[in-house]
Amino acid sequence: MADNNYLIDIQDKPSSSFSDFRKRLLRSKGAVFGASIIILLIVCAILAPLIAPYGYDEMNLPEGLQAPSQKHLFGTDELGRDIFSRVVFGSRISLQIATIAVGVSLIIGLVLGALAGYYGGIVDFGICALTDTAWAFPMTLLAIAFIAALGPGLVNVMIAVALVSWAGYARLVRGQFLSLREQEFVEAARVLGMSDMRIIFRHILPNSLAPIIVLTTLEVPKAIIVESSLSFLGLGAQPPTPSWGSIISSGRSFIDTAPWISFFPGLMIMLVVLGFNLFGDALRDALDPRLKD
Amino acid sequence: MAEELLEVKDLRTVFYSDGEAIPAVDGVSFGLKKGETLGIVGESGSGKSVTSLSIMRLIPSPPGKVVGGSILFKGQDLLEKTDSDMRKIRGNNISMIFQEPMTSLNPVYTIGKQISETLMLHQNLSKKEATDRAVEMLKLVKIPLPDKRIKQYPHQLSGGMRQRVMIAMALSCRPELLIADEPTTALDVTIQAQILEIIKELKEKTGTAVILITHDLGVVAEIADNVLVMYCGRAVEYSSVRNIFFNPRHPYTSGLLNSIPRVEGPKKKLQAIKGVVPSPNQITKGCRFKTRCDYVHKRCMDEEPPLLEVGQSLVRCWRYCGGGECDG
Repeated sequence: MADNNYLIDIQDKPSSSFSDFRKRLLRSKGAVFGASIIILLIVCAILAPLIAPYGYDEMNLPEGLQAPSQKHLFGTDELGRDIFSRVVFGSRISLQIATIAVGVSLIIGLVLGALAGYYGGIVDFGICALTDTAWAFPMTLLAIAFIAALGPGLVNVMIAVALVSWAGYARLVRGQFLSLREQEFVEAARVLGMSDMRIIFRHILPNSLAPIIVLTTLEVPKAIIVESSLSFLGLGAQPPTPSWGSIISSGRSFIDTAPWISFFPGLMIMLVVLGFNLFGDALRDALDPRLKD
Repeated sequence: MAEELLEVKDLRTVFYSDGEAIPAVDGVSFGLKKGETLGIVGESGSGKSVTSLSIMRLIPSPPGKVVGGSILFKGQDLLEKTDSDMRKIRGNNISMIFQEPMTSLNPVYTIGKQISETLMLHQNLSKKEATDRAVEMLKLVKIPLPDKRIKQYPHQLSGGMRQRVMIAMALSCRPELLIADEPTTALDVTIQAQILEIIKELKEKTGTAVILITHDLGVVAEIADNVLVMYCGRAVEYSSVRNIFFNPRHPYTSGLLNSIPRVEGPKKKLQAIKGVVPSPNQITKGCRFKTRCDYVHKRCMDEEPPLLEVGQSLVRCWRYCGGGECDG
């Protein structure tokens, strides 16, 4: 058969889908703004000792409760600690929560959702019951309950955040698997003798990554808020660890005389949450094939 | 004659629905020698695909289950194999291709990666060896510029190309048996011919036995040695391809042959088989074809005919029962 020439349309570049995706993503102003905030947060966290002019627990009582000035960009608290330095170091805590707690909850949700969606039946029933139960509680309330059981502290906050936020992933992944497991390429993989675990993690999971990535960027700000709330309530980071939530809380008694103590960490939380949300939204739009033009 | 490669005896596969067992495949037997091709023919819902999935032990369970019979592959009963033994056989000794080439490949991997994954899994080849073998396989299924094609993703290939990749993938480990479940149904006619040509050629080159499942008798005439006609979960006629085409015995087989539109000769009205395939639990006694048969008589209503030996064919019809005296 010398009749195959009709199909010589081979491009040398195997696929340009990633650069397409990047182009679509960068076209959105929200994505660029969100990404800048996220990058700024990461840089702050990594280079905190270089950026902050003072130590986060460096007290200087005579300079207590000073308004923002050139010397103290965000002012000082009642112990004369530089708020700017504390906020910069606080970004480390937020980022830790963002990566570790969200990572752990992602893994829990992914595995449970994959098992439920792939096997169905009684496995699905059990996991769904668990997921729905976890989903039914307000996130912060459940986290407080976990902290009450585990005791306050940053590590326990991470555990609590991870344990309250996996249900969203589990539901999403289950839904993806339910539709993907009926696809013929899954049947084909089975026919070629692949094991269930190989099919789940190497064949179905990569096909459902896009929505998982989007959900992750949207879960990060939620985790940051829960951590800040817990620290605000005194259940998270213990003094003098500068979590944004605990800085806000410590400024509470001086809110009419020195509002900057609470204002700047609050502003940071708002900006970071906004940044992640804008980026997540833009990511969802860029990854949605129906919106391709 | 070569040795028997696959022997299916009295295979029974049922699906449970609302506590009721519905037989999808009911007492089907056939054999396949090395290098032979068996065509399994029948309308939609006749149990062709369930038969092939039963051989692969891939009936979704629940609700399905193989409840009886045996499937001897090289003398060993596949129904008694453990799951992990079965996984080693799938893709390595028995492989399968599907009807729908557009969705049978994983969209996130290049085709080279998908072919070499199977090779690395079953044959313990290194990545380099597997990739070389993948290129070789693509050459074998006549894909032009295989070195470049292996770096492409499925969405960059046409339907015919994808089906070739599927064939390359299925045959990469040189299986002794290839099950092709309607491999050409979703393709247009010129590509169909090419794909059949490739299957035929590869069969001769590698000595792979083929079970070809189809509702297209033209395809069967093209490459099959023997034909099993299935109706409603039952084998109704089993014979050589010559017998089926030149001397069809069962009314259903001749009905199928008559319903092929003819291009040459005087224009005649197309003869369709009246009615539709009943669902397997609708007919509980008598011949399953009785509702659609032109030759139906009293005995067909109450008693189901056994597979009768008529000449060189096996036929499930009372018409061949010398005056109705025999008892199966």
